[in-house]
Amino acid sequence: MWWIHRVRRGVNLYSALLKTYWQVVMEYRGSMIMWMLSNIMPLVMLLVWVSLAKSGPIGHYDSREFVRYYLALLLVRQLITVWVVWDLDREIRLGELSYKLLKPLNPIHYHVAFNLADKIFRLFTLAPAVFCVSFVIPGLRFDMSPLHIFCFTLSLIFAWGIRFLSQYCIGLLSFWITQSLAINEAFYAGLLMLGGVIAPLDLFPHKLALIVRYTPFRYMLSLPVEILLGNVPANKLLFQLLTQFLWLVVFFFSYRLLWKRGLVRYSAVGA
Amino acid sequence: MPLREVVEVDGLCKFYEVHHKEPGFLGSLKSLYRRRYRIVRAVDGISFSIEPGEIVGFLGPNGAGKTTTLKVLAGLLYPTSGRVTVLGYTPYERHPGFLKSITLVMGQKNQLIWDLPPIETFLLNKTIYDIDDITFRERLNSLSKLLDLDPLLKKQVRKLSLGERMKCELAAALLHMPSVLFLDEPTIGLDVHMQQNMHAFIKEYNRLYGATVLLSSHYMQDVMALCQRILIINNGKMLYDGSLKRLVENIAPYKILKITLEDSGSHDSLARFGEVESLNGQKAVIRVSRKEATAVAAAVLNQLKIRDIVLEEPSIEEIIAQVFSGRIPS
Repeated sequence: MWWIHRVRRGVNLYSALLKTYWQVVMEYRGSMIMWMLSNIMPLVMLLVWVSLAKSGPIGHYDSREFVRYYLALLLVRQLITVWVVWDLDREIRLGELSYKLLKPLNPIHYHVAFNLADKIFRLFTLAPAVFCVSFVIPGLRFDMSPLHIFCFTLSLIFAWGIRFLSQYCIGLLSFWITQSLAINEAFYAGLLMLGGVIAPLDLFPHKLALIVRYTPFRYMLSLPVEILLGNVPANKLLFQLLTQFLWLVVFFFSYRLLWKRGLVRYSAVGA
Repeated sequence: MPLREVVEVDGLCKFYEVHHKEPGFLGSLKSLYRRRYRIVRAVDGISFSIEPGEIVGFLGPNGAGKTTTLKVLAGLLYPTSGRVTVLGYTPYERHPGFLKSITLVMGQKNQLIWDLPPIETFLLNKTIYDIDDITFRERLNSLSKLLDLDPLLKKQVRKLSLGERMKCELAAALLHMPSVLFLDEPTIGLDVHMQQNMHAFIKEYNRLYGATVLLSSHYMQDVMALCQRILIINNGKMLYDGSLKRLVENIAPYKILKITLEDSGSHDSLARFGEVESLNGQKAVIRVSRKEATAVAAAVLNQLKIRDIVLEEPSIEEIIAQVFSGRIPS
């Protein structure tokens, strides 16, 4: 059975890759924590919105609801952080990719494993913090029913997948252009504006909100937050998750296409 | 049926399109609206084949096309035209079976994970190449013995010296026991002692596993120590393919006679023996015909008052330089 062999190889590969990159993450644990702490944009926005909400609720958000929203956002954002574009850009421009191409393994797996190792580290650091906060302030607790947690986790994994693959695609543009990092900055601005960082998406003007609801940015960050807070009605949950999955598929096929074409380009211009 | 040829290259061409930019700020602005391209013919129609177990030296000045050829053979580059097969595979298709049978070591680049000890890269490679535990341990042991790796395995890569790192690079590149080795300047930056270690290792690996080796280098020492056969290319074209010995005989039908006289000699008294290359007081260097070298040396001993006499082969560097400058042996 060829697929059993493939699954076994996949499991072996990922446990070896994760073991290796976990050690790299541990080498850089200090800077990892600094990176996590520097992720303060949601806190700034929280202060702004809480002070605005003092004179009365905005939409259905009062001060407490804003605190809940931005804490959830802070948590989700930590778990979807991706930096693969910088690694990929460097590897392609400096030819470091060559060594990975000599091996019988698609280079994307190194990057996925590195990112997952970082996520495990973040989970270990964040879990106690989240637990303490929700223990002290009961108002900040989230719905803990298994179905709810399952939907949130699924949506979080999809969000990470979209974020990772979209950034990987931008990184692959380095095969053709030297400005992929600039494109990534523009994309990141999109995430801040339309992903729910500047403001919760349901506070957007109605017409704009309709458009924003279907951009990939929402599915990279805002949707898992909305699900965690219980803001997505149960009858729309499946549709939302399907839309999110669709975006994941779109970015996956974009990645396949760019990788195939890029490789031809790389091996044409000098690896 | 066993393959007769491990590497077959037929009319290989690799051309690059290179963006040409004028220097400075104005040049940058200019290239914004009008980009000028130039075609670089890195490899321009070379053909050769290598049999199993051969160690072949690949020589040429900087920019001759050596690295490009090696990268085509390792599957990193698409050929512009021509046919290339390695072990029956088309390299650029990067078939897993192909990737598991070859290796490319580039002296100036590294695959070791920078922040971890080399053993971690080895362990990762073990999984990537599907090597089982017992085989892995055996191979690591034998590589450790050959390259003296034991004290290095658990030291962080970024703390290794260049020589130590090169040894670990080689081990990482050979753990899957490839049967074809492409080595691009494997001794670059290494001291004489380490270079000799490297030579001994490559020879031993070739002997033990019958591996085929194509090695490019700037150091003639590498080639003389390892290769019976050499390929010389320049400007992307093959200038010579054959044994080192034949090259020396064809290019340099002379030997070098170095003598130290009792008294200072004169140019005229030496010229009858051969072409006087230099005369500095008592010391003289004379080129003599290869065929008559021994007779001439005897005559010199008989007819002149000699303190010391040495008959040498011309330096291989000099011969190669002659080939590079366009003197192609018949």
